[in-house]
Amino acid sequence: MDIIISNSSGKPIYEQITSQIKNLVITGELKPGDPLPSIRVLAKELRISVITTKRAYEDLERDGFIVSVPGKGTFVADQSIEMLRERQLKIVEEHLQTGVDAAKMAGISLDELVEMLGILYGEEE
Amino acid sequence: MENVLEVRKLRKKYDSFELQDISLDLPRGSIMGFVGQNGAGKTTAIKLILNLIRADAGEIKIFGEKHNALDRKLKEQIGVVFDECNFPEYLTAKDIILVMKNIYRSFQVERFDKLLDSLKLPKNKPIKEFSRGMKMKLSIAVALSHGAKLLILDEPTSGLDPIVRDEVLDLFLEFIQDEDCAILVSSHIISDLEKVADYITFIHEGKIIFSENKDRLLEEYGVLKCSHHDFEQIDKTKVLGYRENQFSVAALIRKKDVPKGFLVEQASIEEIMLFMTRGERAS
Amino acid sequence: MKGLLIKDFLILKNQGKLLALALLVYSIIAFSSGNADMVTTMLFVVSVIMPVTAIAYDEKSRWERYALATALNRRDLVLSKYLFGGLCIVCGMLLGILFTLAAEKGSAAVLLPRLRMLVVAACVGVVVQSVNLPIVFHFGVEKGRIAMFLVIAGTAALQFYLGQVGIQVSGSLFSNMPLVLYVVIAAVSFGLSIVVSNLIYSKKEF
Repeated sequence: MDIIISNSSGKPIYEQITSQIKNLVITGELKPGDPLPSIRVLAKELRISVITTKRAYEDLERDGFIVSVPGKGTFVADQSIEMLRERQLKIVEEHLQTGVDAAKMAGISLDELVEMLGILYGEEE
Repeated sequence: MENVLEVRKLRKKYDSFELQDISLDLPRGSIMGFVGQNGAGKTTAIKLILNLIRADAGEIKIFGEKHNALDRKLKEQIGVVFDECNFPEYLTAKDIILVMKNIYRSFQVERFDKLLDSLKLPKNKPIKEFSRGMKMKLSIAVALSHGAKLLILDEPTSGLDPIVRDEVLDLFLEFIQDEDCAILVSSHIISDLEKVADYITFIHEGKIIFSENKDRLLEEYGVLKCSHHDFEQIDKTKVLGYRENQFSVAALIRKKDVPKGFLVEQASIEEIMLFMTRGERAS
Repeated sequence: MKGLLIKDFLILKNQGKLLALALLVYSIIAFSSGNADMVTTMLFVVSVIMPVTAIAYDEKSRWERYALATALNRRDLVLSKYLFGGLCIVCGMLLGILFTLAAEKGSAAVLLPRLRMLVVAACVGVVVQSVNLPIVFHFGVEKGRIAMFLVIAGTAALQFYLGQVGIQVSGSLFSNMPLVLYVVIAAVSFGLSIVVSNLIYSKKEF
């Protein structure tokens, strides 16, 4: 499992972990039932605070990507990839709706919005 | 027991310096960075916690018990490292084993030996001939070899090169894998702690300025950068400290208080400290 | 506390080679010449130097603040220095007895006074140590030396003054008391000194 953290990207570290693990699950690199490192081991390896990894895992569990079994550890949740993708799509939709509302308020056209989207998507790559 | 260490309203008065209302909680399984300038009161606070000096007021609890009423078994679970190696310099590491074995009932000779090896410390050389980094590694090796659950370190890395500091950080991270353990490390070198600390307690001129979850601190504070002209338009009560040069102004501010359209950068722990202490007050 | 004693003896082992040699040479000379004063002086010197040197080493490496942060307490630290000093004196005395028995093949009449002298010297050493240690604990090694010097000078001055007024206080007055009395005085001063030192040390801040 690869997790790469950037200290200089504006994104909070726990968010970077969350999105990378979500990505691994959605693309199928991490399969349901696969074990994840404990929050302590992850913190030690990445040289970050345990609180950060704990938060990332809490968010992942809340969003249904992972599940922690007391006494056994943390594992990728037993959900179909389609379901998770659905859920993530919903989140994207909500964010886009916010963007669309803001654009309409400022009189920004759909074309401008699409162009912005293209630039942002390219940046993230 | 959730907190390995609890400090409540500690006070100590000297002629030229006073420690006021020092309070902090160190939850188990965590690393707390105790930061502040030289002379801010870190060492005094630590000495009070270790009962080396007596407080004028306040309460300290370690492992849930009053700090000056710890039984021997609990006291043995506290590992201490000071900024100078406190072992007599005419002894060798091997001598230290014999001495410490008879001071700590729970001293683990094998573990200590292994640590000496992995830290590449010579066993038969008098400590006098150790470099500063080696002396520090020795002190830490001892502290990690008697079943300690609480590690208290006072400026362990000052004067050490980045390579040794990195080795030391590794030891801390290994120590904290056990959830029942906790580390309180004081330092004025923030960069070491900035990454791995779970909590940061900032002390300045004898007072605690904040004692917070590090992630929350980073989320909360930002550095706003703008022109002098724009700076005038900002609500000064929201500015926690600012620094200006001929060409621009940089101000520490809570991210939620940043007015629209202004450039705000992530504040590092070091910047938070600098702005709060050296920064000008705007209101 | 065992650990503390081990520490002090290990330092001695590593550092005391020169001192040991000097003492050895001195002992041989002293005992073969049978000079009472030399022996007394040696035990006197040992009783003062040893524990103070141990304390000096501790001060240099700031050992005390570390030791107190371990499971040891203040009493342990005080007691260990007394034990250390006491052990050194006893060793010195035993060495003296050994030498005397080895060197002197004379009759009991010749041997006994010499042996008695050794025990007396050891007791005096204990008394000197009992006066010295609380001073050193309070003032530290540096200032303690000065303080001790003043005490000795003061005693000498007192002796002189008393002499002027007609009261002769000389060494011979003391050397003819029953042996038991010496041992008792030594033991009492040892115990008292520990109590005083504990009091001083408990107030100390590190």
